[in-house]
Amino acid sequence: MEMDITGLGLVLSFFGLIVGFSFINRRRSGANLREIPAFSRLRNAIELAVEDGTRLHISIGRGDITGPQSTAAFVGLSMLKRITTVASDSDNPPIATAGDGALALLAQDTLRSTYQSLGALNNYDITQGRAAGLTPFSFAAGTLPIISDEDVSANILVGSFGTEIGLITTTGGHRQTLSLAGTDNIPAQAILYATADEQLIGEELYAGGAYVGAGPMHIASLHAQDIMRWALIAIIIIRAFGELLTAL
Amino acid sequence: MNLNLKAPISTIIAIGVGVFILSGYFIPLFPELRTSLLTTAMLLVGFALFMGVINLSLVHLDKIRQGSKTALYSFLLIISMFITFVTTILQGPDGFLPNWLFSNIQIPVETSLMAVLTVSLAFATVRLLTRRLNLFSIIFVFSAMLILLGSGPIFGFQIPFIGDTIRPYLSQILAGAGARGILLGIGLGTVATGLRILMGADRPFGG
Amino acid sequence: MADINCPMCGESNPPELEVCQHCQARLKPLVPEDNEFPLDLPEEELPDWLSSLREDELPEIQPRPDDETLDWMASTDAASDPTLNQSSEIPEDDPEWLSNLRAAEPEIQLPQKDYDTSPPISNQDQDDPDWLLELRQRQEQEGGSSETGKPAEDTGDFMERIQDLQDNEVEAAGETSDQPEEAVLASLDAEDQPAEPSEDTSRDWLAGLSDEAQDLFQESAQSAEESPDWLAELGDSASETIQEPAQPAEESPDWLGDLADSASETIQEPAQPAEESPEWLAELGDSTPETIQEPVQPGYEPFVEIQQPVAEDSISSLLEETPAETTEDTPDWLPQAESSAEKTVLGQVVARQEEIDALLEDQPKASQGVDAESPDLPKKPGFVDTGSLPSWLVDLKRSEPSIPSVTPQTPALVSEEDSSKFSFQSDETEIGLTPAELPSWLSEETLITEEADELIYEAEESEASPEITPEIAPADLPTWVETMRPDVQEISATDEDAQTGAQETAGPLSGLRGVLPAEPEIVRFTKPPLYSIKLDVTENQNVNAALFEELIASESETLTPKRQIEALSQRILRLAIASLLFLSVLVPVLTESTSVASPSAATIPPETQQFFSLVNEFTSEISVLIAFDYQPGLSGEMNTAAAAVIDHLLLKGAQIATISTSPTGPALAANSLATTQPSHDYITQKLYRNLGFIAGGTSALRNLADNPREAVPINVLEGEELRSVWDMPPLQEIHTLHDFSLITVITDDPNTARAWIEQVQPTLDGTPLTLIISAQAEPLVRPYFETSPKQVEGIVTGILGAASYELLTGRTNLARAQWDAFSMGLGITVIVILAGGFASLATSILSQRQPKRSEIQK
Repeated sequence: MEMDITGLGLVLSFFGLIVGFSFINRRRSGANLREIPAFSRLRNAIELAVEDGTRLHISIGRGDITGPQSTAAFVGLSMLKRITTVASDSDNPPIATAGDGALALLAQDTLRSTYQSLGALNNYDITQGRAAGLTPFSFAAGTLPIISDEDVSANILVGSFGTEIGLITTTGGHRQTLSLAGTDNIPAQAILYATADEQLIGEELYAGGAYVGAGPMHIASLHAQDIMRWALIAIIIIRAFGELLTAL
Repeated sequence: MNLNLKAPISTIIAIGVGVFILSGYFIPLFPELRTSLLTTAMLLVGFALFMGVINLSLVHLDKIRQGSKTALYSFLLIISMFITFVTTILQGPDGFLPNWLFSNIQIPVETSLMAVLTVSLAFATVRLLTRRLNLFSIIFVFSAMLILLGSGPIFGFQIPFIGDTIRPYLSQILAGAGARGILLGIGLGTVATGLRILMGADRPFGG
Repeated sequence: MADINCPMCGESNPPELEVCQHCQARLKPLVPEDNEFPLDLPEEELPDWLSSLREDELPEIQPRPDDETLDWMASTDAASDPTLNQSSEIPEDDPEWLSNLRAAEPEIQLPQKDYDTSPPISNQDQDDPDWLLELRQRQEQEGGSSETGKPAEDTGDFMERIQDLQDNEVEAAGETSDQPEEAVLASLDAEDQPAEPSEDTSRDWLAGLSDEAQDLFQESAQSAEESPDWLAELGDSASETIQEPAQPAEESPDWLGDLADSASETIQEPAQPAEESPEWLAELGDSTPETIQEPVQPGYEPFVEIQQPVAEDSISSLLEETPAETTEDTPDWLPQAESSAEKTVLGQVVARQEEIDALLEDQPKASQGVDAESPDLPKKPGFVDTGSLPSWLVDLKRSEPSIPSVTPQTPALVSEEDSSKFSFQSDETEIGLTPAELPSWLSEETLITEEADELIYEAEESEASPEITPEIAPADLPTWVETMRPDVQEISATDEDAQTGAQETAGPLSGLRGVLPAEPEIVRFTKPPLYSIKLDVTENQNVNAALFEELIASESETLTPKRQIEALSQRILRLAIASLLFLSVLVPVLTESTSVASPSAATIPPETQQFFSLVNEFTSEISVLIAFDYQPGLSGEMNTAAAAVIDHLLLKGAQIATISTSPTGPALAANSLATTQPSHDYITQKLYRNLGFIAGGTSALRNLADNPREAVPINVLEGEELRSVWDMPPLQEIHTLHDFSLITVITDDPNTARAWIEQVQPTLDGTPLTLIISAQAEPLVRPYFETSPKQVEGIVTGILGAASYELLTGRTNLARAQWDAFSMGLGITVIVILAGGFASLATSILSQRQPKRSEIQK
């Protein structure tokens, strides 16, 4: 029960911080976020893709929507929505891939609603959102032809990926395409450091929505995350020193 | 009158169910309802898996119809999927043909992909200092070397200090600590994302 | 020298300026100040009409071309020509004063005087025509006084002189009535000089004429028993009713209007800047009756408009409004003039105007021959009322030859036929000229041209046939206007402004340059200037233009970007690495090498030791739940890692149930058990239970932990009976996960491991949870083993852990078979990374130093 109260308190405080920052940020000008080179390069990649009529490939991973890995996929969906809004008038519209059936349906729904909001529902094709594979390596294997054959200029891999992400980013490097990836899987993050052009380590993945302008709540939650992180750091240090002192 | 009720209804359902399930972790109320909702979610996820298969089939059928240059591979995929589906329906998952197909095709294919990944990672590590020459890249390569050296005998020789001291220290303390910190941050991000969805500020379900 | 006041804006300007520095109007007339119109010209240089005047001969008026016949002249021709429309109506475009003149039939004998060669009287009169100025000068030379003793006006006011003449006439009542006529004629003869190519002569005689007229009037006034009332009224009304002619100056000579204005102004306000129009003309205009309305013909309106107000105001007061007897041959205005004594002066005016017209026509710029001997007075075109014309004017009209005007717009003044009717006799004072006494220029048919007749005829025809749109006949300049035309050559030689600008092609100023335009600029249509389209392009410009053209052309071309192919060196390097790795692993496997020593007991990880101990403590039949939650791609490592543990469990008599949260889990479980445990019949007989795949990930685990029977509702066909798997061994005693003796999770994903730990372990209530994981997940999972209380009871990590476990069990399995390949692979990998890393580092450092060297060298 004690743990339950702690958890409930943590959730409620998080909620309050998000709401508070949402009001505070209204008075501020600008997002007041630190520079993340990956998102800067993402912006350029989107612009270049729209200019030269190449395709953007957005993959939201294979995370189960019933598990914690789904949040990474949700961040990928938010970025998919924003990127599609920007690149909708490109000659080759963006393609979204997923390693899970439910995520594939969500990707299709996001694309359709984005085109509908833009009034360009005619440009939407159901094959723009697809399940590339239902197992990790089959998902990677299904993604490789998209990178090779569909004139992709940039790969935005934001979601829950395993070690199979190395295949995707390696292929993207061979095709001289930009690979920007972020995952909640730590071994995959290590692979991304060696193989991807731009990688999102740790919480940078969850800041994707704020950096692509998905909404003010994304920025508010990012600020709340910062507060909570420092609070956790403080708690850990205090408890660690307490345990050390107790042990001594 | 054209009312678009999809968005508000789906939002209400998502927020309501999410809050109920979340609160059930802290306040044990209505466990049966919570179980029922979880069961329903699992059913939907299973059906979503089936929908993923259908989506995959539709994509490759569309490629065959358009006559793309990868239409042959799409055709092989469709055929393979059909054969596997039919055999599994006929013989069951423990049947001879399904097991044979799985054991002799899928597992070797995926294992080969893993082997390719191994080579790719080795190559990427080799070129890392060329692509990104900085202190962290050097540390990365050096750490990888130490872990490899301590993971087992190198050409039959066990390196004493690296194997029993350095490697455990690197993997269990440094890497572990760093991983734990990353996990904490991921956890915070997960909570924030979940709360945004529960607040309705983030709707990944469209509408 | 005193400053010059601009006639347009009134601003003061230095005297040396030609053009006003404020409004750019001309300060000095085109006609030079110096008297370039010598009065004492040789006879051969005098205009013919002037000469004829001196010789008591009317100058021969040359017929004018058709297009130069004035409308009013056409009207007079119509009056003289019976075939023309001899309507008794007063032509619409006849000035009123002319109409009155016809009725009055005055006979005016203009004094014959020489030209006044004196310079202009005052600077204010610089805009006055030279002839007027000459008249004034002459007056000055003569002491500035008339015969009546009255001082002559410095401005040379003609009408004042006329007034003086009237006074003199009154005083000298005894003089014969012929004298004024003779004087007029004499003066006219004296002024009847052949037309000079310069405008000096035309203006000189006018100037002289004004003086002469003034003298004449003075004399006539003296000789006459009574001064004509109309003359007095003319002088009065001129001072009252002088109006600035509001003219669309497009179609009338400006100077003519100015002449009228200046003439009127000099009568009333000598100090005012005079304009170019003769005063007597302006006064004539002012004196015309108001009731006479003379509709304007197109092309002649301005002149008519100039004359109209004058005519309406003055002449009506001067002339008796007696119905004029119109004859066919007399101008309409002439009978009026003949009928009243005042019209004597008008007759002189008419005569003078004819002289002017004739003079202008004699100018060299005049394209047509001009008989300047008989300058025509202005007459409204189309107005033919010969019935009211004086006889002398009618005769004059008859005898006048056609006078070709200088411009098409200028009509002839009086036809020859009408010339005979031209009479300056009035009812009271006959100062008109008898036909016998008429100067040659009056008696001869020099006034009305045949062209005017033709014009009238054409105008009548166009009226008769309205469907035909006749062209508007250009007005002809009066002869005396023609004679006043300035000499273009002399002006252009002296005046810089006259050398530039557009050349006037019509009107009395034709041939001149720098003339103020009559039309407003808004309606002046000129040919657009032609610019040469030839472009001088240099060679360098050609080159640049070609480059620019290429740039533009390349913009529209779509370049297909070349897909960059990986460098050959990189492809070779990748192949080399792959070959080395494959060979390092393949060779030991194929050779079944076991040269590499197994790990020692000291190197056994504690978590592996713990796992072994846990399994080793089982003594009786146990039920174990094994979760196969790893990918098929990592089945090599995971099968190797799980083989020793499952073997140990089977040796301990464990009854195994498999489950998976991955769709490929059940198949993996069957494959793994079949390949790694062929020696166990339990496996080969498939006595284990496969609970299959549970969807939902973490939620499924939570559900499984709460109620496994409901989470996995599987029915198995046993024989012909369908039974629940939970009712079959080994699961018939399992109701919760706590009922299992051991739960082992085989996974490569640390998240899956965490999910099992977080969702299932809290409900196990003492049942140990163990993990068989891949080496990549160890750092993340190990803390669950090292925590207190332990959440994970044992961990076997990859091949190293499997080898250690095999060491503990004493039974060799897959780990031992792969240990040599594992060792060799590790070694090759380390060598590749070391060598490649150092090579990459060196390449990067050298490449960074080379730009610096090149920069230093530069």
